[in-house]
Amino acid sequence: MSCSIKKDYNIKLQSKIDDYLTPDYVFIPYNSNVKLKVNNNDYIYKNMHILDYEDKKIFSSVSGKFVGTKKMMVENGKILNCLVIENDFKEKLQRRSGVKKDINAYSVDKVLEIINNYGIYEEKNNVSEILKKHIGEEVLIINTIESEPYIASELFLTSKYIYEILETLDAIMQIFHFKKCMFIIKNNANEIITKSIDYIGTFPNIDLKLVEDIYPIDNYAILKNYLKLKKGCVLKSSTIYEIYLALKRSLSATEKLITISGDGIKNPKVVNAKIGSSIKNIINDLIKIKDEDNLIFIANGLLSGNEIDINSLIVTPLLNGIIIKKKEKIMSTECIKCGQCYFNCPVKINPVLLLNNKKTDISKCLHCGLCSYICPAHINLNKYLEKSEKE
Amino acid sequence: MKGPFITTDNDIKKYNIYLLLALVPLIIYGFYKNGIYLFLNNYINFMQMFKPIILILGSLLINILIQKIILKEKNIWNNINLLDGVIISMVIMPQVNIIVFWLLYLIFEFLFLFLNKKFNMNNIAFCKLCLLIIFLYVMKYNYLNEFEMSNNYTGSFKSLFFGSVSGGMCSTCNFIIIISWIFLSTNPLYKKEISLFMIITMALLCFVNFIISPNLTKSFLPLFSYSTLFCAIFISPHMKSSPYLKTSKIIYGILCGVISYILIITTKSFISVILSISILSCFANFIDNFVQKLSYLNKN
Repeated sequence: MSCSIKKDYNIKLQSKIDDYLTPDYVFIPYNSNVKLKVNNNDYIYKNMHILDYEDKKIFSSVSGKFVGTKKMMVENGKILNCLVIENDFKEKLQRRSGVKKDINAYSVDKVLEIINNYGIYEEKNNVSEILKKHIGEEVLIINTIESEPYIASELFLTSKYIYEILETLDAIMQIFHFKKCMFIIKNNANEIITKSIDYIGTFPNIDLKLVEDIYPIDNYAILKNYLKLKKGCVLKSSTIYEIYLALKRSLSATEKLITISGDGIKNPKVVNAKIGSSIKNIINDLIKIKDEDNLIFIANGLLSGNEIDINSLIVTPLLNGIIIKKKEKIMSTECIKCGQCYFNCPVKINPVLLLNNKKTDISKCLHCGLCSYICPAHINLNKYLEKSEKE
Repeated sequence: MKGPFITTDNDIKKYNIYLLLALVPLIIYGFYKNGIYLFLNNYINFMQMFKPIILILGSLLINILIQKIILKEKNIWNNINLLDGVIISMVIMPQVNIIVFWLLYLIFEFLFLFLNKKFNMNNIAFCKLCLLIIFLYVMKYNYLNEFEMSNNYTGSFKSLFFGSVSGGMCSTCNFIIIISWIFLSTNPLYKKEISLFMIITMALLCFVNFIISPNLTKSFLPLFSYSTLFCAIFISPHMKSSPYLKTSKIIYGILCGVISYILIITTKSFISVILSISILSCFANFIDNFVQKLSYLNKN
């Protein structure tokens, strides 16, 4: 079960993407137990592999000097050690490589190797592993959806790089023997639908599929269920674009589209920022805030996101958006046993049992926040789920 | 801090507004039947005409005072029990003494607050049951208003449906009750399955009775009289004291229907429906747990 989320239609994103590509410093988070490959004052090239963080390869998004470490916050609210690189604004690459003309000619192994080398991940999953697992399957599903309200980074990225994404998709389908490709777009995203129709005609194996704007349809299991598919490989359009960069241009992704939105600002927009940039600098330079004293900053969405300290937050590959919202006190009352939390839960977890101090299996919880959103008594059920998870 | 930082508009306040809107047509009809009509035909004086409205507003006020003073609720609209007093006063007999009713209602509300710590009981059903027992069996009230007491009157099937029969203050017009049910069912919080299955069960049992002895009015009397529809729609799906799982709601509705029908047939008492709801509400948690366990066993 999924449901549509209420929206304030006065919050409209401007159609143009603003760039923030010249930060003075970039911050690259790492685990304290990781051995750094660079020393103080070392010169770092753009796209240089500088460390491995949680088995992912991390590349520098700018060229410049490594000037030390600093503690900064990432999208889930954790404070991590970060490498600090002082940008020299030269965008110097270690070695220049040309543009590969025909990416369809790659073999399966070569593609997997390239994806591995460029450390392309979706959430915590290695994309090369995902593709390897699904070779020869019937359907490849490309997700352009973010179901969190007011966040549209994925949509803007798809719109900006639609041809590159479709070209890479065509190649992936051929290389990994997918028979069909579903290109999933929300049925209310008119601009991208029109744009996709213009381009998709040249790729006969790729079908456009429109889905309802319901939450949390961007979850792969929910999406497959909605499409009535038991099997199929699901990837984000941003992942396909990263594969495009790796295969076609031998580059890793150094930029990230971030939506900055909410009722606390005058000009909601999508910003193309360098990975590792300070969010505070982006907001100071590009965003007009309404009332600075009475705001909260939320990373990655109103339902499943975290309240964060804007002063130390940095752009990471997993950060999709910042919602700047006016503070409002949510008054909760006791549970009225309406059962809406259980009825609407996409994985059928019963939070009422947790409220009554009874045990229930919450291993499948998606942490989508739908139960807390839908609760008419405004009880923050996430707290109970987290507490139960810790126990 | 983890979210959500947004909550649904479909909250308790909205549900209370829906419930109030569903009750308003019934209150207007009750005001006409037990107030305006009686005044126009010179059965009561001008002040007595407002008795139904005063009774209902007074009960609402008592409820608000209990919540504000005793329960220290900050926002009364966010309390699911806000309209309990209104609902109870709508099913009470027209001849009731307003002051006595308010006093007894206050006493039973306090008693319920104490009892509810031990039993998960439907407070509307509980209060109504206690009040009915006192009014029917101690004070010997009946359900006739001044007009009905002065005239020999036999209800037809049509009058059962359109409310011109004796009954509770504002609960006789089954036609409006059904319209209110349709309206209430559009709110996702309303447990429509309970009322629906209770009505279907009773209708089936009445139909079986009709096949055995083909008298339409007599056969369907348990469904259209005894405030059955009103209780099925406004009292049995009471939020805190009824099951919340879909299957449990269906089971609960069916059980309410069966027990109410049996009690009506055997006792012919006006407390039958409310008694069955009061008893079953104590087992609401048990039914939920039972269904939960069954579904867990099915999964494994």
